[in-house]
Amino acid sequence: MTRTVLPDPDPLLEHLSKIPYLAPLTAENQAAIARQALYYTFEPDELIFLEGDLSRGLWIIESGNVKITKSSPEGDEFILHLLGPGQSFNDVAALDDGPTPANAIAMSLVTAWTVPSAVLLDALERYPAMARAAVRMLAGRVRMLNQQIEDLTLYPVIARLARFLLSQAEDPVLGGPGITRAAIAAHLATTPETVSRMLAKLQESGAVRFDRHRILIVDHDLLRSIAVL
Amino acid sequence: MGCMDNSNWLPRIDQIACTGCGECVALCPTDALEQVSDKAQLTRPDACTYCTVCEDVCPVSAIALPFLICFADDCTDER
Ligand code: SF4
Ligand code: SF4
Repeated sequence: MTRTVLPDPDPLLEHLSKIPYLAPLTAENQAAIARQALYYTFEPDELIFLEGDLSRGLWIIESGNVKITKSSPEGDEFILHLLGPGQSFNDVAALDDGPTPANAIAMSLVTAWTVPSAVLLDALERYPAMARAAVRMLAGRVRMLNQQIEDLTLYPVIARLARFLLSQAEDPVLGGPGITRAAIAAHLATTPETVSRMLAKLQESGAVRFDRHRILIVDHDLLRSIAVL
Repeated sequence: MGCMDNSNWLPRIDQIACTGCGECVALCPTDALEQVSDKAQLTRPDACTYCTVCEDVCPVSAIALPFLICFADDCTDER
């Protein structure tokens, strides 16, 4: 990890204005927050933080891809999110100033900013519109987690895989350096063999087609129906 | 993100994890792999058909093939 002086706060400002709970702030207040951000560079595979670390604050990716993971007691990696440029992570720990809830690892060369928790907490105290937007964001997060629990308990692997493929295709930023079948398996809490078998089934059904390194979604409606969407 | 050149879309062999057992070299249907100083290496990348046999057979998960997931009508390797 290398920390450098903020090269130019303008690109950060653009990203900050898109973060739901910072959006209600005036451009001037956003600029004040951007000025207090720190700027870091990470090598591929470098650890950005470990679960349980003291939180540095809110992270915003400028370039490169980051994976957010959890490790099982057996040491298996479970990928929660794959993130790309403009996306932020560690909101929750930044907002409650608690420990980081998962691991963050650079998947490529990554440059990123961090807005220290103290800066965010100070802004929350001062600006009720930001506090309201933060509550809305956190409530949305709770709903999403409920949905994930429902998916895991109610839907078979093939439906979860179909959902995963759709979400990846809909957000090209996630495609980044590509995803291995092992990573898909970790994401769906299953084994790589099962993922291979299910991908073959999806290909047989005509929903997807392999084209060398591409998994092409050829029948969107069919895949959506397999995904129970 | 800059654009990806083609070398991103090839089997990645972890040279530290590879034990040099030779399984992948023996089973690769296109002879794209070779044993070089006791490690597997992709010496003929042009021959690789992305069949995933090497990844499936490696006993120490030293080989990984990255995939790109996209809609058929809107698929580009450049991100
Ligand atoms: S993917 Fe198939 S063709 Fe390519 S190196 Fe591996 S075994 Fe050989
Ligand atoms: S199968 Fe795996 S460990 Fe064996 S030579 Fe190939 S890469 Fe190395």
